[in-house]
Amino acid sequence: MMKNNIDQILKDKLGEMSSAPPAGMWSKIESGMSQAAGAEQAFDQAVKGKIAGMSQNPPPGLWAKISATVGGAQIPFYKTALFRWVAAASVVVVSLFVWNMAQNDVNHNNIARKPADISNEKPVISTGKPDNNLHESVTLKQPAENNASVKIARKQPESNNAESIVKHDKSNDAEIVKTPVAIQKIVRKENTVAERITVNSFDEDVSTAAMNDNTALMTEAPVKIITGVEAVAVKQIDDLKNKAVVAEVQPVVNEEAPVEVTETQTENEPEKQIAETVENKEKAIDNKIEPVTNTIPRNPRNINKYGVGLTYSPTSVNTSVNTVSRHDINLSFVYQNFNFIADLGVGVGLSSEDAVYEMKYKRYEFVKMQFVTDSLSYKYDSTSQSYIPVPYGHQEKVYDDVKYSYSAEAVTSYTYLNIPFNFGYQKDMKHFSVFAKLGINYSLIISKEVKGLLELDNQSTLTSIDYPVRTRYSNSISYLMSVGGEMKLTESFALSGELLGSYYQNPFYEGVDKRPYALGMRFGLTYYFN
Amino acid sequence: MLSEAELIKRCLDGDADAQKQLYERYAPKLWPVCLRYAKNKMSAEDIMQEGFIRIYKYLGYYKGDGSFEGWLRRTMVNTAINYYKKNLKQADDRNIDFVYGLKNDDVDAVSKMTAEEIVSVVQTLPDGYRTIFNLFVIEGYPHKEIANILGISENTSKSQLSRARVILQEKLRKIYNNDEK
Repeated sequence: MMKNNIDQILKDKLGEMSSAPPAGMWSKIESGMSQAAGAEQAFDQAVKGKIAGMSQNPPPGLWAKISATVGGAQIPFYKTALFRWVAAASVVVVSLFVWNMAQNDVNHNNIARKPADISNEKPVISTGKPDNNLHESVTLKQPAENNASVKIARKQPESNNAESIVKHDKSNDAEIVKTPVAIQKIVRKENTVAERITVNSFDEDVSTAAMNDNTALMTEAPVKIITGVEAVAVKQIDDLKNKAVVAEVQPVVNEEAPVEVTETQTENEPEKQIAETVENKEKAIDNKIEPVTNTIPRNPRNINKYGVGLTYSPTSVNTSVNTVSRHDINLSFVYQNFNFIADLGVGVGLSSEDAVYEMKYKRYEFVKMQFVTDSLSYKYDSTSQSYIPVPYGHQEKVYDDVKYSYSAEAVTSYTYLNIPFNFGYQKDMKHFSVFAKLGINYSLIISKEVKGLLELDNQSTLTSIDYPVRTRYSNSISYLMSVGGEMKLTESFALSGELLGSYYQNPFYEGVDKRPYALGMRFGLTYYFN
Repeated sequence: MLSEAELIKRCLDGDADAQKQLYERYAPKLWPVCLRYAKNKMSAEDIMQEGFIRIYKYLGYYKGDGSFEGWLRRTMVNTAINYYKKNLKQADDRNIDFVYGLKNDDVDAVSKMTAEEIVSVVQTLPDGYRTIFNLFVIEGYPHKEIANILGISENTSKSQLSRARVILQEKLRKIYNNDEK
């Protein structure tokens, strides 16, 4: 009790005491500070001068380590696995395309290889009358042409001048050596006759003859389109055997009815195949019923076909700033009519890109211990002959906002809404087709997410994030170009693969002029409604 | 020899030869930076490796503003800072009342030592001291910016710099005195 009272008295007495420090104290302090600062500066300069401009070679093996890992950071597209796949797929697609074209040209080449042999021949059926000497019938059908039939027939004799018409058919029983016609396109008019036929090796006169009399002749002339014919006949002259062929377009009675077909003749075994067909025809010619030699399965992608498809497309988008990996999944409505194909879709896309983010935040936290003066007592200083204050107090924790910055490499993910439209040309084969497409795609960024940044706790407040990657435009339009192939799995399902290139209408980032381009692939599964 | 602009362009195209050429041209300048920020040679190699990967990866961000060597140096410094950032926070010392003094003799000691000797002494500093010393003395960053970069208070930066100086002074003095004997 007594002690507390004394303390209180001393506190009251000394608490308000004031006394000036000794004269010259400040100059001593200032001088000391100045000397200290000068020494620090000199030391700093000395160290900096020694090591700032220092140059020293790194250890010899360091480049090997760096070069081994640099590959993932900056690989040109032509060195990527994607490119190798694209290149391999290109070779396959081009090979299939060339093979298909070669198959289509077989007949034309067979005919054209000996132009001299037939160039001197006059039209066998020059009068426009049917080849009456012939009595055999054969049906020719290109594999890629469907729902229509073309017949090459030998007519029953109807007149006495048959001998003069078929001048070179000495045996009067001509053989068919090879398919002399290449029908590239037949558009059926209602369900009766062919409206247009493209025939190899017909000249103008022959086409006229064919138009008039349902017959035509083969000469050395190049491809000729004959319109408006109901039938066409073809005669092929062989320089040794005087073989002849007459072709006639027959009406197709029913669209759903099976049509007769003979595979495209090849040089290796044309006679055997034609002979089989001829044999069938012979049996059927009397009662005018078309024999069935082969039935074409209904082609799911030919005339006015509709379908739905699901596509997945990985692409690598090259901007002037970085390379963005993008993945799109689209649902498409597909339309096909002969060689024309089109699709309109909707889907989502995902892309991600690496970037270094500078994240600034402040956190309210303990900063330091601070002495808080509760009272002052005074002590007599004999040197200055005055009282100097002696503080009494306690240590207190000081809390304040402390600013932090956090630098991290984070992944930014974007989600897009896609609306693609494509159209193109398709070359159909029996189980496979190749196509080329042009298109346009509209993309809209619908969400953005950054992964890898520091997650702040409750005591922290985000103040800013610096984005080294420039601000993205939310809309983009890209022009697409693709080539690929489609393989029929069943009559309804088909699997497709294509090489895809696109060029963007607008840049990716604000402040960047260069427009990106993308390379990639597209895989699809399509269901066709029969 | 390729010009700087051509070298950058070819590196951006992914030319491996150009990447190596860029390394060979600038590595002697950047290696000492790594040594200064690292506590030992092994860590310096890690920083150098990571730094060059970042350089190649973000080369597209260099728009030609300022010197290319300066950009490379800043990238390497940032890499070094990130490398030690976790340790820096752990070693954060908020006592700002501790003050050391320096003597003018220490400047003489420094001037008579080789750069390699000084760097080896700098490497012995604790991570936080070493980083702040490098940023302030060599790179010339003000304390406010250092505080922002490292996520510490300005006073902490100041106090750790003072401690770094004193530790360096003591160590350099010892080496210098041994050399004198």
